[in-house]
Amino acid sequence: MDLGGEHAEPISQPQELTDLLARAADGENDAWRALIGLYSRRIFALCRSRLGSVELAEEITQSVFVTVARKVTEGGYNESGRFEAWLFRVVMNRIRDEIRRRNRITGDRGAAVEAIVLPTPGRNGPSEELLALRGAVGELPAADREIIELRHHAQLSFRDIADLTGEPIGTLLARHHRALRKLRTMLEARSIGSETGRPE
Amino acid sequence: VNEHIEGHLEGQDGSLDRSMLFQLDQLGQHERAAAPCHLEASVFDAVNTEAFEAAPAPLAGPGHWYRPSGLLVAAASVVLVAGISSVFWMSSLRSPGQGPEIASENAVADVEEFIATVAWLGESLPDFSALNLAADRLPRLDDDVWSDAENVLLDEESN
Repeated sequence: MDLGGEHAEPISQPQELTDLLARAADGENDAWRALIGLYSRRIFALCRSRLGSVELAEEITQSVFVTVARKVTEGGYNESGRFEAWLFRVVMNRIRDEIRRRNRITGDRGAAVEAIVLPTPGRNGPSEELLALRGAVGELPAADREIIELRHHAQLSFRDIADLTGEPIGTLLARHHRALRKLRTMLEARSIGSETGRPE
Repeated sequence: VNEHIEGHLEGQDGSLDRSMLFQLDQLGQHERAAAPCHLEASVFDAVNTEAFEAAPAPLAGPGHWYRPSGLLVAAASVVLVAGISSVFWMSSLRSPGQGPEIASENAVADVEEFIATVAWLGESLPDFSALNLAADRLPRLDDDVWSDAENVLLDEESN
C-alpha cells in the first residue's frame, strides 16, 4: 500500500475528499492510509518548522491523526467541505499547546521557544539558500511566519487559511505579501553582510 | 476557482517576487520530504492502536461484528422483561398461607401469647431482690454477674 508522502497529490475535487472521509468514518483502513498519505507530511513540516524538533513533530502528527480518527469515526466531525481548515486548526491548537507547555517549563517566552534548528548544508540536506531562507522565516514576526508556514509548508489555500484563522482573505494576502518583502529584505541584508564580511 | 482567485490576487502587485515564492515552495517541499520515512506507517499504527483498538466500539459502522445491534438490544430487553415477569408470577403461585392476611393473623396470635406469658410471669414471678442488690453493689456488669444471674434463674426454675 502506497502511503503517499511527497508522492501523494493534494485532492483537487472536494467530492473525492468527501468520499474518502465517508469511507474513513466507516473504519476502512485504506481510506485512513490515503488520508495519512495526503496530510501527514504537510502536518509534519508545519510542526517541525514551528517547534524545531523532528521527534516532536512526528509525535504531534500522530496525536493529531488519533484525534481526527476519533472525531471522524464517532461523528464529531461535522464541518463538511472544510476538512483541511478543520484539520490544521487541530494542528495549530496542538502546536500552541506545546509552545505553552515549553514556556511553562522554561519560563522563557522569547524566540528560543520557536527557534528553527539549522542543520549544516550537506549532500542530501538543504542548499545554503534554503537554509538562509529557513533562518529568515524563523525571524519573521509570529503572524507573518504563521501565514508563510501555513501556505508553503502545509500547502493550504488562502481560503482554507482564512477559514482556519477567521481572518478575511484580503488581510491574509496582504500579510503574505508583506512577509515576502520582509524575507527578501532580510536575505539581501544577509547577502550583503556575508560579502562585506560584516556580522549579520 | 480558489486557486484562480489567489493567483489573480497575488498577481495584482507587479512587485511580487516570484522567485521568493518559488524558493518558499522549495523550502516547504524540502521540509515535507525531510520527514522520517516511517512517518506514515507510525501514524497509521498510532491511529489503529490509540483510536480504534483502545477506544470503546462506536455504535455505528461496519467491520465490528461484536457491536450490539438494535435488534439484539431489543431482544435482550424482551428477555429481561419476560424473566422479571416470570419471577413475580411464580411468586404469586406460592401457598396462600404465606400471604399478608395470614401473616397478620399470626402476629395477633403471637401478641396474645406474649400477653399471656407476661401475665403468667406476673403471677408467679421469682424474687430477684437479692440478685438486684448484689448487682447494684458491683461497679459494672460483667460475665461473672451474668453467670451468677443465670445460676440464680436456674435455681429458681428448678425450685
